[in-house]
Amino acid sequence: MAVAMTNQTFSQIQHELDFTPRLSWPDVLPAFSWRGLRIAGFTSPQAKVVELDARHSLVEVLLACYPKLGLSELSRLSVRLEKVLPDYWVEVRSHLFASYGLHWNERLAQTTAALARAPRVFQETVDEKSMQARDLAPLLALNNAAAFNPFLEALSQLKLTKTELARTLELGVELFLLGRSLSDILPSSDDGPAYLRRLEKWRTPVSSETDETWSGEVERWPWPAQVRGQWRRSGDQSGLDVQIRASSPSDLRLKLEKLLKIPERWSHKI
Amino acid sequence: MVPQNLIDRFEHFFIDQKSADSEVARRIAEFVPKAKWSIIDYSIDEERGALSRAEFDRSKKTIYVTPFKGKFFKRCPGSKPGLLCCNYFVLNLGVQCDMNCSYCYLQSFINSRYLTIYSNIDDALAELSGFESADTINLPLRVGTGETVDSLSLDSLTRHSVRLIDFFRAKPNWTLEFKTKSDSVDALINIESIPNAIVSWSINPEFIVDSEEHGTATLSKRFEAARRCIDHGYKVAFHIDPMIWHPEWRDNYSQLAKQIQTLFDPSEVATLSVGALRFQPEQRNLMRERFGMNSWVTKAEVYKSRDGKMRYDSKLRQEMIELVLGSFRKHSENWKAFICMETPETWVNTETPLPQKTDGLKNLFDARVSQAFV
Repeated sequence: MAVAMTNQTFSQIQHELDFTPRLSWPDVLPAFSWRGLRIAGFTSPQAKVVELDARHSLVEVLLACYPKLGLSELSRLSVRLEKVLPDYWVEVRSHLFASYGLHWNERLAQTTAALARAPRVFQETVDEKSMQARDLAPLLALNNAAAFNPFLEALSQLKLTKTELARTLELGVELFLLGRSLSDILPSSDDGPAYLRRLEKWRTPVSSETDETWSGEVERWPWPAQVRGQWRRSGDQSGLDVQIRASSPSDLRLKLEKLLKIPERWSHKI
Repeated sequence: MVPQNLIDRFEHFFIDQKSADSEVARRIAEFVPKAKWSIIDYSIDEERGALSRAEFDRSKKTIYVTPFKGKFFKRCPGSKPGLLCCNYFVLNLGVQCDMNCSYCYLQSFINSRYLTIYSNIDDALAELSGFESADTINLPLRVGTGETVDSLSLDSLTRHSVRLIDFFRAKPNWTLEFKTKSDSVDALINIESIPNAIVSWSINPEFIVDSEEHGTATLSKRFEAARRCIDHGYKVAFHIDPMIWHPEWRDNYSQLAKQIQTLFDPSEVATLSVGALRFQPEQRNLMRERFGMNSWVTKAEVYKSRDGKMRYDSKLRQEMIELVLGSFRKHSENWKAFICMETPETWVNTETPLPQKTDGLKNLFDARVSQAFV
């Protein structure tokens, strides 16, 4: 889309839409405004602000200036736009979100509002990991979101994949709502996957304890050499995984014969 | 009559102009104060998308009467590869429920801001008639109406039960199943019963009814309603489903099984199905927002199972289901009990014989039915 421009000075700017986009505006470009609302180049060193052709809609000019926005950026943009142009915001919000591939509804509005209130470092993580609104849904269950901010800040320091991050957030919220103190829940190292395992264990204490007991039990069983038995959980099933390395058919037969003693140890319930 | 407490439950009743002549619209006009209902000539349910907590809660308080334009008749959602299924078909005559169970699966997919009642039951019955042929009329088709709306809780308004009973009266080999957590059976009692209608109740121990099944009839009211239906000539069924883990689950579910065994004779109960808690992963969000973490459902220790649903550990499920089924087996071999929406492993690992091999249940699993109607 080509967006036409007319020249305008700083003095004619009536509102700032500074939503602190992640990428800084290139110094070689002028700042832009639309109907007196500065929409780009908020920290531009250039004296002139170029007024874009008002025949284009605000959504069109925003999309031209910011073809891609993360969810956090979009959240901050929403909050800012609602503040400076409240009536206009109601008119354009569906179109704005649709332009960035999202369907505006009350639930999304609540999610973006919660995200805009979250610590900035967490917002950055959300955009770096390209997290989506559904990944952040656990935040909507918090009655006092501010009290949970230290967790969000700590979460941002961990090395986790997007999926792990979403699951850690969910577990953190649930444990917090279940009454675990924040100091208890906060990570004590930056080992994300280990921390996630700890939260999973706290969230499923009964099953985790049973699994651990079985793991310990299985370790004590008389495994033949080069045979490894492990108690493992896969989804809603847990059970014994056996790995055998055999060098010949006779070796395999020997190991299988020795393995037949294992069920005798497995006869009792834990 | 429409009970006043039912009318009070709703803030407003919207009637689509196209439904103005329907029986449900006439009953609303007759029993609901004029200030609480209006006929509208525009669609009020255009906006779609996931609902917020407040929108979902509000959707239970506003009724929208409108004709349904799609297919009414569908296979039960439990009929998926990997699950042993009982050839259950559903006839959806509305969407959303006026009751409020913490585990309700409607939370995973409803995107309408209203409790919708479909006014064109004639079209639904015509669709069902379309399946009638020399080949199908003698097959043991089972049709339930309680998938996306409770079958009976709004029956004093809709009178759908009366129309359905009339329809099934002429099809003795087809079975109609109402599924409810209400005690609203007056309309059924006021008409002549048919042997091929089953009135069924989802039940749980009173402790779980109190903590998780908000706005439903108490367990004793459900049993009383079941007794009234039996005495009037209907068959009844019970679904002990979903079983929900809580510290006293063994005592409470044993007690529930004993209550049924004391209050009813196996010959009076067409089937007893048993199933443990399961829900779609995405359902967790709305449940957490609406019920917090004090619910035995939201704080349940669940894992993703092979069919993608969140379920208890498989061994715990087997233990829970076996506790109930074992109690019925021990009491009498005449109870027709089976497991609902479970994986074949659960069937195999409990001591329950496969339903295809159980007298009284064979028809439910007759493969000819699913082949003929899909």
